[in-house]
Amino acid sequence: MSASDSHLALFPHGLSAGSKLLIYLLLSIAIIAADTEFHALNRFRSAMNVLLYPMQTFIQTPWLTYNRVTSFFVKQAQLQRENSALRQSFIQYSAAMQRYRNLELENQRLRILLGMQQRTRLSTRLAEILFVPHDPYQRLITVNRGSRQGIQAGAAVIDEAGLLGQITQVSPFSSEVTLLTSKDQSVPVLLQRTGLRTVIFGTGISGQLEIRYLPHSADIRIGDLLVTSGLDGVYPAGLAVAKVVQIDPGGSDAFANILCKPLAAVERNRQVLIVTGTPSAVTGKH
Amino acid sequence: MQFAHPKGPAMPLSHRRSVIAASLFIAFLLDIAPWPLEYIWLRPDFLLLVTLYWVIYQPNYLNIGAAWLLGLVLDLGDGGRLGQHALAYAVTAFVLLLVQRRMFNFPPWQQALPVAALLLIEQSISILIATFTGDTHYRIEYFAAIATGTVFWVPLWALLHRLRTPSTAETK
Repeated sequence: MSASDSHLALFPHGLSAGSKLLIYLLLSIAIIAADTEFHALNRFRSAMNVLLYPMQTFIQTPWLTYNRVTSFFVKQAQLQRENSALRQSFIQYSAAMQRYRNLELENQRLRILLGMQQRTRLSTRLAEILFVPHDPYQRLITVNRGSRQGIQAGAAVIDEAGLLGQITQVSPFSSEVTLLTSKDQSVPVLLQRTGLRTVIFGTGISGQLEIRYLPHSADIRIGDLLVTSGLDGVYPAGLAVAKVVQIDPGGSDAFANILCKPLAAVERNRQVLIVTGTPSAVTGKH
Repeated sequence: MQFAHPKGPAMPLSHRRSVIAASLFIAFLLDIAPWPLEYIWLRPDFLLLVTLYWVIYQPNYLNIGAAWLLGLVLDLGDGGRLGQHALAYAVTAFVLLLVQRRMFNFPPWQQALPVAALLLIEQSISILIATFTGDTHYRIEYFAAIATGTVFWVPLWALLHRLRTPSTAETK
């Protein structure tokens, strides 16, 4: 900026702060528009993500080592307690599992009889949450599996309770998950109790989803479970999504205001499951 | 806008660029470090605090352009909207440069209040951009990070001050 012969220069101090600010303002507006409206910078971002990945893993190591060390020094009594609890739930689950296998076989036979398409099993891949954006209101997270691990954009992301979101951008070693609750996310669902099909929308508020276009006469109650209907071909059918928590008749509106609470939660744990591959790809592999 | 420009000779305590770069790098790492998700609202923006510190004490090295670039790096680092923090950082650095002379002479505990105001400016601009690009809902908790950032200012100031003091004794 400051030339050696500053007396001869036309702008001895360089540009004024105001004009500099103006230049950077315009530049950032251009970048924001290119990124959010035209998605022109996705290549650049995924390239930068590859560069940033070692830093992210480096900064995570102290936390992970701390976790490993503390989990190594657990009390014997606690282990025993946990073990017996796990054993009990294992017995319960294995009983349920036998029933489930039976039902699945029966379902397959019935589907063949009816001439319907076969359902395919889900194959999932465990991923860990790398970080959430600096602004907590942005409803997206980054996980540590990317295109190198065979993750594709559009894959559903679940946790142990239900559907969490969808992969929206993939880099070689990491990928971005847009949560269900983000503002422009919508999922086709069906009411488990009645089989009523509808679409659930994110509101941009943590822990809140809404059903918009359901007439007042629809048979829906508080506590009803909503599962994915699989109609869009993006989310596999039958994943738990949300529970109805509030039904507001909405007075003059043509439709009822129905608020739901998603079952999955990012806050609970750092591991998520990515549903890999479309059904056809799954059968092709194994 | 000439008053907003750092004039005159460089401040006598010139810090080595390596100290500045290292402190900014560590602040960036802290910004992308894992943080308990229940308390995510309290996460202070370390990178912004360190940037503000260096804009006060080394405005010739770190001014609007550098702040803008650091904001862009933060956007890349946390996977957010590209350009959002870049713009907010640039405006914050500009506002700080307007009062840089006064800030330079304040003791750290007196700097804390203007710093809180600067953090508020950064977050407000961030949220404004988010509003323009489609996010609609915010909670008041979002501004809790200002309080934690302000609390961190004095210890951070002390640490960086200590880091730069030996270098002033050595150089020239």
